[in-house]
Amino acid sequence: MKTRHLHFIIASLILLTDINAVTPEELFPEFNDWDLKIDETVYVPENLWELINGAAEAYLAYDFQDLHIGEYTNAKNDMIHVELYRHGDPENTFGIYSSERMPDYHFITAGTEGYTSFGALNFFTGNYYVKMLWSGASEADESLLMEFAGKIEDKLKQENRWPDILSYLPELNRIPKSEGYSNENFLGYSCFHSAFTAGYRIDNREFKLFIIQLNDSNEARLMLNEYFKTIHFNASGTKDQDHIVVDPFYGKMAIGTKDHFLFGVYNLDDEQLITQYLDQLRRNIRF
Amino acid sequence: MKNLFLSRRRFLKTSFAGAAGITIGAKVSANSIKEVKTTGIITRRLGHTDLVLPIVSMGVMRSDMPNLVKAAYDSGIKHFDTAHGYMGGNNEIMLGNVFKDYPRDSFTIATKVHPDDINRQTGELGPGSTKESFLKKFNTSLERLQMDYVDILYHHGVGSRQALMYEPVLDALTTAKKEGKTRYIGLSTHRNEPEVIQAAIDSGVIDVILTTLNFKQQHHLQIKEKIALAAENGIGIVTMKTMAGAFLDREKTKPVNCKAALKWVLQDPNVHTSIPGITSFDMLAENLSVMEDLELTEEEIKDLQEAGLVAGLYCDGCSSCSALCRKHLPVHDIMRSYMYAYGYNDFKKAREVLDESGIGNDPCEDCESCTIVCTKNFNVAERIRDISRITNIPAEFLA
Repeated sequence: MKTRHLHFIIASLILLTDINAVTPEELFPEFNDWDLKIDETVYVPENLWELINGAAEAYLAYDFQDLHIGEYTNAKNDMIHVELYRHGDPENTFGIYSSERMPDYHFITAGTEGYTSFGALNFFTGNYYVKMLWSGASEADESLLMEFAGKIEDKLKQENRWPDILSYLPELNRIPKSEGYSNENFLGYSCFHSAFTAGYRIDNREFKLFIIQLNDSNEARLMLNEYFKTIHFNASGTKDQDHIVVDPFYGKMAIGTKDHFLFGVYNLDDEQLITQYLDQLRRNIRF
Repeated sequence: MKNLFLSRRRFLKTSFAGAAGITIGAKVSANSIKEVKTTGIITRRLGHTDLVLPIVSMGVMRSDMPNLVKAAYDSGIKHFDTAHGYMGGNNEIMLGNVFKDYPRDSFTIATKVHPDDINRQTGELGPGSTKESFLKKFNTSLERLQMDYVDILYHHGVGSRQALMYEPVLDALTTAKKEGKTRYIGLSTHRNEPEVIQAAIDSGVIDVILTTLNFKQQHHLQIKEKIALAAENGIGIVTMKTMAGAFLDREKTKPVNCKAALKWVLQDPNVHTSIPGITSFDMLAENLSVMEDLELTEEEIKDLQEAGLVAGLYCDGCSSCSALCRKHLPVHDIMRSYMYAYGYNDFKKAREVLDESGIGNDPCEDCESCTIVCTKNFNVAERIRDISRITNIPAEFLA
């Protein structure tokens, strides 16, 4: 019993260290003339659906960790509702943020990137996806929301940076705000995970590029082979690094590897362009 | 339906066999993936509606996979479920882009709209939940979907009788139906399902109920009873979360046999269709195989029985233990404290809950044996002993 008691104390102390990192009071800044009420409920993967119903599925797919909620109210009965979603790493945070972003939003300087839309201000910073919503008697004050966002960002103390791997995707003809990240089942294939993507447009043709970083070249080769196995493509006997196959669901798919990276182009028929983009991707990849 | 059936069969047999190498001189193998016994797709009428749907529909969870939706459609899935709030609206936009090229009467679409002002603790609606704001969101959904109407419009996430009966939202739903912007109206519910389903029956206007149902729910029998009553009253029943979270543990080391779990739900004839979230072609193929064969194999039955015995992580608050403790301890509160500590890492809150309940260290100390039998097979006495030790830690360490 003494041993178990000791284990409990040790476990508690270990966990306490983590608690200190996420105490709700340390996440929400104070504002003059605004009262802050922090929701007692902390949402975790097991109960996120209680708050956002089926939308929780997408958050869980991006390694959602926890959600703290605070509400600021002023004397005029205006309210700013703030949700702090914490994900496992900045890549997953970028993934969930970008999955909800629309290119025609009004983008702002907040965190790594943010936008406003109909009284809402959303941004991501490090492991946090921050959602703010204005409601109440007055019209939404965007500049005030921006001020709140800045203070919340300061309080969260996260590093603002884009995933490095995005810089490997060619800029030529890239559709603004089309970048995304798929943590699992990329393209619907269970063999693909951790894929960064971007959309491209030339005239009226739209196509996509993707790039996946694995731990080593062997993993990259294994992923490629698993994909070939899934679509029943026999690549034996070839030494080429790039392949163009006809995927049963995506049509022409160009795919290749360079060391521990796997990358490709799809929704594009023009083989000259395909080669051009694959070459560019290959040149861009530095490690 | 015959064509759909053939398409589905072709998907199961050959979906991955069409790949062809066009460079590199590589050879293409034409192996087919595992064939599934085919005896005909099972369809059911959705209550008193004129919608006759295959028993498996699609919960559209990802907006970056339009080709997965197309594959599902080509394979015989007719009904697709989305929501105004999924992926910030991108989910509806993707579906709109996919279906704009398909005959409108060849598929059905359901979307869900959340009222604005919901008390998260009680599930009740407040004055901010207006008819106008609800319809404004719904009109935005129609624009995103590029459709004049949806087949089912749900009041999203109803958690109480009050929320369902809340006049402005009920009025918004019936107005949308009268205006032809939705063929049928319904509600979706994730909690207090029996109460909500009964309220739907009592309302007299709800056509379809979308409810959580899976073999892991402690109160699934009560839900099924209400489902039967609703079906008897002509209400269509759609189920979700049939896979019980897909894993039995947080570390994702114990997967649920999802196919078996789906069959278990659909074996109830009062369930008219189900909307498993499908995010890969493998999952699609697995779900399609259920469309025409609901019989559980011996192995599937064994899997469900074994999974049913896995308690999961935390108390789900069924409170059936309340009367069983001979010391009349507030077991539910203590289990809540346990969840705060081990689930949320919130030791301060865990301690507060115990303090409020007047619990000190090891309140079970003078009990020789525990009289509580937990419906989830938790060792309640052990959990109480574990969590009550937190009262030994000075409060300042928890601040």
